[in-house]
Amino acid sequence: MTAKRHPVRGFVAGLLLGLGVALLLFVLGVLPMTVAWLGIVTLVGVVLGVCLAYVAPVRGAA
Amino acid sequence: MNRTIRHLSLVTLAAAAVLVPASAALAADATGCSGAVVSMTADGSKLDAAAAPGSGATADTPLTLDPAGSVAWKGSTSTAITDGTWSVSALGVTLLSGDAANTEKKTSAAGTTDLSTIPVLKVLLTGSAKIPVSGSITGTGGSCTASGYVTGTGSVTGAPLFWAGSVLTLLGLLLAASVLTGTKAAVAAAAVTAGGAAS
Repeated sequence: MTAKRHPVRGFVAGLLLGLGVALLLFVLGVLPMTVAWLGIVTLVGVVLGVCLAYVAPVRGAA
Repeated sequence: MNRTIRHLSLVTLAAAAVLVPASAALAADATGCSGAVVSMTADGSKLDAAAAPGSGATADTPLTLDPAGSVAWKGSTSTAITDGTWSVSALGVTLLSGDAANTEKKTSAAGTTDLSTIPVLKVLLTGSAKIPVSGSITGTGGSCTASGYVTGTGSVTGAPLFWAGSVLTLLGLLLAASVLTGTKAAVAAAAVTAGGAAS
């Protein structure tokens, strides 16, 4: 059985989530507001988003 | 004080806003100049201070600035820098810049800068963000570079970046949820499609 997965949607979700979390961490003073940290947190979000798309449990499986 | 010295001093302001902390790896840095700065609120009361060499303006203890306030500064360069250019930037974006002829060959100056004349600071200096700033002046006779961290005042929820981050985070979570709910067995999905087409 194959599953219909959504890696592109996962990528975009991770991108938005990473950027959002990075901005929150900046404003809250948890991380210094630098391009390097923005890139790192966003990249982590993208990786997690794509991974989520590939490991998400398959609905409707027998 | 002539215009050139004011420009020179703005760089020193950056140096003073950044200054050299004693130890930490995340310490601010200043080379070729030294100074001190006192930040003030809009009503003129003292808010924070830093000195270079000295304490303050580090990532751990950033210099607190009021975007509607001002900073009183004094500083000096190691040598008289003439026919130079100067700039002050935050997050890699140049906020102020200009030429510095310094025909009088002065090496020190003092003054006050109104932060409300820099609109972008109203966006950045709200909440607890630790913002890297840097300044430099380069010309005949030497150069001065400085970098460090500043932070703002006010409630975190009053920061535009807080709401931007919240909206992006919410959108990301909703999209991630749709990834979870949209992952279906291809056979089952095909059957549903076929069933929908037949009915």
